[in-house]
Amino acid sequence: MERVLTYDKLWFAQETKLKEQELIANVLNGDNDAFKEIVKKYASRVAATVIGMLGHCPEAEDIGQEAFVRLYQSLHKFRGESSLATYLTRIAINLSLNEIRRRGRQRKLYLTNSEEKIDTFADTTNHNEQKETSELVQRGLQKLPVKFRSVIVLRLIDGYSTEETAKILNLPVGTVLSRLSRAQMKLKNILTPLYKGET
Amino acid sequence: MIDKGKAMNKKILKLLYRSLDTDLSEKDQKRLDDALKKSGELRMEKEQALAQRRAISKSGTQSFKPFFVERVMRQIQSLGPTKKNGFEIFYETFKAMFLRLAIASAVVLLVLVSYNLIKSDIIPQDEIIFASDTTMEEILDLPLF
Repeated sequence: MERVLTYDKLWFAQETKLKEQELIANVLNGDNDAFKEIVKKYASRVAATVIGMLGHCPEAEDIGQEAFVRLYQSLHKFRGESSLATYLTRIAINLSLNEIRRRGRQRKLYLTNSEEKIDTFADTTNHNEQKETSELVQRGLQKLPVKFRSVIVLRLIDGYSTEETAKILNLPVGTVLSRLSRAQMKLKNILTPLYKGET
Repeated sequence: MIDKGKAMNKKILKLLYRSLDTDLSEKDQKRLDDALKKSGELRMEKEQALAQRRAISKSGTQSFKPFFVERVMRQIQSLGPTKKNGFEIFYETFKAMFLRLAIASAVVLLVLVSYNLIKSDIIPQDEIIFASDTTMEEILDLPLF
């Protein structure tokens, strides 16, 4: 039974890869509708990555758009060694990291406080329990150091394996595993007071 | 004594979190299982960690504002078709033209070096790589087989 499932999985992966290759070939031949298909297919994944990294902010959407523009511009270089999703996630995470660095520089220059942004966002939460939990988690994530946040976003939000996460971040698997453990422990310490309403 | 216990707990905690993402070695897995059997606190920690992971996964259902796809496509259309730049086109043409020639030259060179090596027992190094006074005509006059 397990073998049948594995075979199905492999077949599905192969099918997806073929479809992806066809879409890419069409884009390279100037078919913009094919690229629209790609954007539709991966918009939510890019949103999860970028919003996970940056939080809900106007820049997140800009970074999301930029990720697709970069993908479009570099599509002819895509060799198919990884899946298109992984390739796109790598672009999205790198752009997010750049944005975080830029924010860091701006913070130093203008002494703006990102905590304020988080608190402002908290005012707009609705009363749906699930949404509330998600927003708390998002707030908690924003308080995590970037190196921990990126592994959590890729592994637990985007659902990449530890090996894929390591490839995307260009890190050894051991480092990813240890960052994941530490990140979850840190996040627990951040979230516990948030759950208790000690914000 | 307390410090030792704390350090132990930290190690077990690390193992616990690690076990959620990878298979532990047999020894570590046994250590964790034993600790889980003994400590209710650790079992609680595991439940909380799993709940936290579920909450994180669910928080990832995100989307951009409506008409995101259309906004991206507007940007794409303003860019024009995706193209290779001049250097890439030159590099690929150059590679296509000279790759076979380079391989053929390498093979010919290898054959000539091997021939010279087989022909004489002791050959000075400069003669192997044709760096001696040998002229081009002499090289070309060499019988191949």
